[in-house]
Amino acid sequence: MAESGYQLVRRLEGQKRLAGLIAAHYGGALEIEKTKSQPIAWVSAGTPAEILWAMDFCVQFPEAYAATCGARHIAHGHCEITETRGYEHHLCTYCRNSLGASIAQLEGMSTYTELARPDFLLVSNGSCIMVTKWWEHLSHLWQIPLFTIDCPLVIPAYNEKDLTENVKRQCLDLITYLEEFTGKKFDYDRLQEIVANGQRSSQYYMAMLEANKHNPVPATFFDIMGHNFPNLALRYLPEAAEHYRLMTEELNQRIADKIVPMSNIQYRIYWDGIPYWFAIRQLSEKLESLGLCLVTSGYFDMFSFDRLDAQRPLDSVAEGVATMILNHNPSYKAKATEKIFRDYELEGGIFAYAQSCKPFSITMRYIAEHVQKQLDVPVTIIEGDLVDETFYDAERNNMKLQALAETLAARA
Amino acid sequence: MEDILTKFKDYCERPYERAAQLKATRNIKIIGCLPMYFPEEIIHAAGALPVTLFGSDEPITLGDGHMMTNACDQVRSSFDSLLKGKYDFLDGIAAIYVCDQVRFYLEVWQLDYPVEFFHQMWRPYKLDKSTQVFFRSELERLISSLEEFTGNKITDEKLRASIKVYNDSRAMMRKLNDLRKARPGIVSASDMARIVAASMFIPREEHNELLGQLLAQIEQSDAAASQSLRVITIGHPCSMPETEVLDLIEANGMVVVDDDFFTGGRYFSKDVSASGDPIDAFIDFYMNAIPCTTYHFPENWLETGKSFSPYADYVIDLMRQGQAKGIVVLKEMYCDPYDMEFVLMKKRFEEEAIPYVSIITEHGSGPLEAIRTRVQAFEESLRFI
Repeated sequence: MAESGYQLVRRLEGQKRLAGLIAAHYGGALEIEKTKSQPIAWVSAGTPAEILWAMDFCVQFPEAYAATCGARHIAHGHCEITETRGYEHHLCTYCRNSLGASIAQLEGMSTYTELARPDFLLVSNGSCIMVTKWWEHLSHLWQIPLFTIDCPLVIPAYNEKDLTENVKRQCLDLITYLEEFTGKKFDYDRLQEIVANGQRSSQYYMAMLEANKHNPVPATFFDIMGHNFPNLALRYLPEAAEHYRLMTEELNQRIADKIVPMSNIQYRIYWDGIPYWFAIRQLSEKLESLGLCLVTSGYFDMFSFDRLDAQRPLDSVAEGVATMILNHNPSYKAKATEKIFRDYELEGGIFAYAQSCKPFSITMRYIAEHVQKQLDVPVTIIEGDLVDETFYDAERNNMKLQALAETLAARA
Repeated sequence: MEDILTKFKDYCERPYERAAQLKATRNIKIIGCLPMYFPEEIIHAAGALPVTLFGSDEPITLGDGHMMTNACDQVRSSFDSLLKGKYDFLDGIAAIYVCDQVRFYLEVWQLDYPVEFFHQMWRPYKLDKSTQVFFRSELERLISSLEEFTGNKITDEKLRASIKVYNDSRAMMRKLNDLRKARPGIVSASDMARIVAASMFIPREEHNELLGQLLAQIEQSDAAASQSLRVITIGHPCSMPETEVLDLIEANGMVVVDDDFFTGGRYFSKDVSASGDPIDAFIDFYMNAIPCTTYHFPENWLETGKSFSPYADYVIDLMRQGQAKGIVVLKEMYCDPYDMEFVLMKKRFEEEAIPYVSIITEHGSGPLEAIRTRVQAFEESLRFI
């Protein structure tokens, strides 16, 4: 619970710098599309993007783009386009947004096309098998080649070395394919340089997140989550590490200056799952009114890239792809979530069920119950979806959040 | 003939009765396999009995308390059955990760309801040489886990003998399927599904014996071929389609001459080689599998201009080989791989001017009247082609 004598400053200085980085990334890609100066790849989260950067590809992330569309309330229009083409309403809404946006772009139906047109596609099924189907459809729409990385689910029966070797073999196939595709020899020194940048960026990213171990927090989860983008899409550049170094400095300075990001901080709360991008403002206001402060989330693990190691570039890239957080069995995820609760001294949890996202949602109840039993903390499961607003019932979710706050108050 | 068909029907109505009886009388280890594609031959070679775990038609009352409702009926219903004690006769559970639902959820079965033998297995989604190495180690891990659990050594000879038993089974099912293509209606679509499903519940040798008798009787039968419109049925990727829906199709002017069900053609279309190294034979079987919505064929996506839906090509070929006039697609709610593939499939059907109707079904959902209307409309449209 926050003490008195704290000053409320909602906006982080790093927000402006982040906006600049994002604008430069998307704008730069569109410029590359015009000049055809580099090949453009669309990749899914959990792929060895370092290999593409080392081959001088311009790399775009349709999942991040879907989140942007959700936040700008334009995803629903894209999803509707896919429904007219036969896609079922329950299918992943990131996927439907992306395919709808692609159809709009290809058929000249929209002027909102931030993603530069792709020449090549790369996907990994570490996050889910659904995403490989999504990328197959992108390949069909854009009529461009798709390379797939196959990642077995990480279970205790497996040796991590074997899982890494399995992905590494596929990375070597990818390199061979790209050498032919680009007509250029793969440069392992360049890969090492890129991995070194990613390693530095990831170290500062983790430091930024850890600032929120302080009570009261210098920023909420909703304030920080947008800052995942540089480590996802720009970690090959020194600018990403510099952004996180400055972010860490800023957060630590806010702690020293007794600055808090919201009024009425009463309880330290965990958020599980992908944010409902279209509902962030509404949820922020509701949570603030209830004194529920979102401190951190397991969602950040998706962007940590903490396996990157410049001393063993390709192996560490393969290791990160093979062991990404989503690609673990439920008991591992439950224990990882429990650890976050302990490390950040969390008092309750909000689990954001997404109707169309199976990897994040299907075992959510099990993980929530595990945390509740192990730590005796109250949790609630709210319902919605990633970017499709039609699945979201604000009133129902508000009641659940209210109940969580009342439970916490009764325990105080 | 009717007596044998009734026996198969009984097995499907009480799918695990025979397994439970065998466990009690002969102390055989029973291992439940979640659909699809688990290498039952290896369980058989270990001296255990593999049984396939389908859900039931009962309302889901316990399962939804443990998992979220965006899972398909097959996954939710079979988990519900587990919690209700319907699988208490099992000594173990095994599954291949065919989709995200099984992959991300399966371990919760073991956490909530531990069984003595629990085996999760990865079959690569991407079928190429680079993923074979890991898959080989998966097959070896399965063999050693089963050896440890049953105490029985699984030799190459035993594996080859089991493969032969299953190949004999598949060959007879293929023969039956050929007979219905040659003489439509000689075996109904619902009987066909029940015959194949029953093979997944009882010892394969017993099933082979019964099926052999049935084939002999059918071959001697002088029943005339149905003159109804020939169609094929596809879909329902890993559950058994509702036999009421299959009966409804055949009661409305159509006759099913082939299918792609897991409890149908998909199950028996291809053999595992019974000669040479058995592990190599299984690798070959899986790596050169018939197209499925749960496989990724890299060459189709790396080289533009190649087929964008090998699965659609496969079912179109089935339709043409069966001289069928159209395709009835039965879709299961919340089956992401199939729903995604269906969009591409639809495009291929339209390119080839293939008549089709797609029907979403869910166990226990019941509204057969709505399905009847669509089936009748489809039959009428076929009459004018």
